[in-house]
Amino acid sequence: MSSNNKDDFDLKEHIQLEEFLRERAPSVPEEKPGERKAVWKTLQSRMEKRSHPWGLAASILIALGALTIGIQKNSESRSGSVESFVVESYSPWEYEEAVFENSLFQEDEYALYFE
Amino acid sequence: MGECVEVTDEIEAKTQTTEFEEIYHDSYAMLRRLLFRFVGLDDLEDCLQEVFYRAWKARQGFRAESLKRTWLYRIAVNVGLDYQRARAREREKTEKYVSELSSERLNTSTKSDQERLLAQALSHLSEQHRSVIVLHYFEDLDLQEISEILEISVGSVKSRLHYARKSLLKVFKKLEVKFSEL
Repeated sequence: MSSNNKDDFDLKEHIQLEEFLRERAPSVPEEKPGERKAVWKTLQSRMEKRSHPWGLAASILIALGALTIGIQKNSESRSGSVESFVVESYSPWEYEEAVFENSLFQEDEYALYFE
Repeated sequence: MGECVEVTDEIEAKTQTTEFEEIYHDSYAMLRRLLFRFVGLDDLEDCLQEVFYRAWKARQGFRAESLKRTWLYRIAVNVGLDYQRARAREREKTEKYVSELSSERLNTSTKSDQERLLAQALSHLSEQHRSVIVLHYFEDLDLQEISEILEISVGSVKSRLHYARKSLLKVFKKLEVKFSEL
């Protein structure tokens, strides 16, 4: 069905396109002097860092450090919020009432969650 | 005893590096050609470094199976597509993408103009379509090898090629390019 539809599939066009693609494959510029050596040098230093046990340990420590800082920052940014004020200022048995008083929930929502 | 283990490790690491350096020199030109067709000249060296670095990290997997060429091609295609994605995000931000396609009337008289036109048209294809066009028409790989590189069936490669050509024809029509005049 599709082959009968000229808009959908035109064999001649496809053949012309294939010829065009084969003939006009983007020509690749020549390597710059020292390019291969420079890439190898940078690569080698990355490889050495990875192979060295201390390098691996350092990577893990950096990742853990970043994670800790991230958690700490997240916690700090939440510490000023109304919700954190409520959580930090009241004992667990007072929390329910405090949440309601601070209007974190509408009255009907309060009923939904606490009754 | 501990020192002995350290020396053995060091020798092994050096042997591995020497072996890998051979792979690097043997395949540099091949991967450079492929990656240029994916990412152009600006990101070429970064991409090459990334391909070899990923190959280095995954070298155990390479020993176990598949042809070295196919394995490296697979990594290179993935790196090429990653870079293209990053570039596409940047391009979307600057909003040049649409205007390029609609307003630019390219001079198609010389071979380099036509190559540029083709590169531009390809940039409007999906990743899947672009990959099969590059591997089949530019790298001249057969369907079987492409199926191994992309880890899809030969039937899927054929189908992707068909739809990639159709999409490319649409782009060329939008650019008002007629093959008979090229």
